[in-house]
Amino acid sequence: MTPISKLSEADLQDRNDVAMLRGLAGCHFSHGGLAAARELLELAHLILPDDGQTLVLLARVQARTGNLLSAANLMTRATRLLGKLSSKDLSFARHLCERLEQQAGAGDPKRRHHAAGATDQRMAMAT
Amino acid sequence: MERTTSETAPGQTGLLKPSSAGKTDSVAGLDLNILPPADHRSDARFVATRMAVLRRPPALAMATAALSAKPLPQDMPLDSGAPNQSVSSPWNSTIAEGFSTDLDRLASLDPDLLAWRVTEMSSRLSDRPDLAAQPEAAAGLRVLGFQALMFEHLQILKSAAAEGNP
Repeated sequence: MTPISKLSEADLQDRNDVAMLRGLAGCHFSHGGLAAARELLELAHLILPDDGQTLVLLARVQARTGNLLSAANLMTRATRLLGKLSSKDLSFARHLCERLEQQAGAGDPKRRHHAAGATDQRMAMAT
Repeated sequence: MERTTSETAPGQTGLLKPSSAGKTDSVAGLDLNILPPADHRSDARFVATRMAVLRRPPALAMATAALSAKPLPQDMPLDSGAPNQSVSSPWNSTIAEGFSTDLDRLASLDPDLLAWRVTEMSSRLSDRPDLAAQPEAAAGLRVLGFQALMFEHLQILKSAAAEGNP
């Protein structure tokens, strides 16, 4: 990641905008405005596509709406961008993996086995 | 008190267009024609009532989310009546805690500064050609624009209330 002192003025402004959009999305999310939160985060993602933290928050919104697979994919991308997850995000990733396994377990054993393998892979990436 | 939006000419306030005939400007039950006409802005009672409605946090989320073209998931009530009421299970708490850092940063800002920054950012991002070219940005810009509008309304209502209650 580029040090803040080497960022151009436009880059700095983009970062500030994205931080503000993430905060506003948090306001909407905490009041149940999931669609509005998602749209603000998608806008933030368009401004800074390489911002891993925005992807983590998008993953959280997806998880809240029950799209666990989409959330897992976003977390995988976020992990690649961030390199290392914070303890909060790691805890979320673990819970997400467990939920995915549970969901797959409700189906046939083959799918469950496949999901467990994918989960192991994701956890290895996240840790 | 009976009010009509036709008292305010389009562009007079620069905030909301008056309702067209037979059409109600309301989103999720929230009346968007909240601005009193210029000659009634000192009506403190009217302003205070409207402010009370606007300050109810779920109303903002409701109105903003209702503007979204995408439907909300059926299992997620949009407005539970109280903040965080739907966040009850440990799983939901795990999900929600990721927003705390950005929310704390936002909460540390002066409310007037926050309102100004959201308005400025909304207008600046709407003018960016790279974002305007992407249809995915339209929904986010609309939510942001509406948020800015709400802040602008609150600012005017605050001033109007101050005029009414010197």
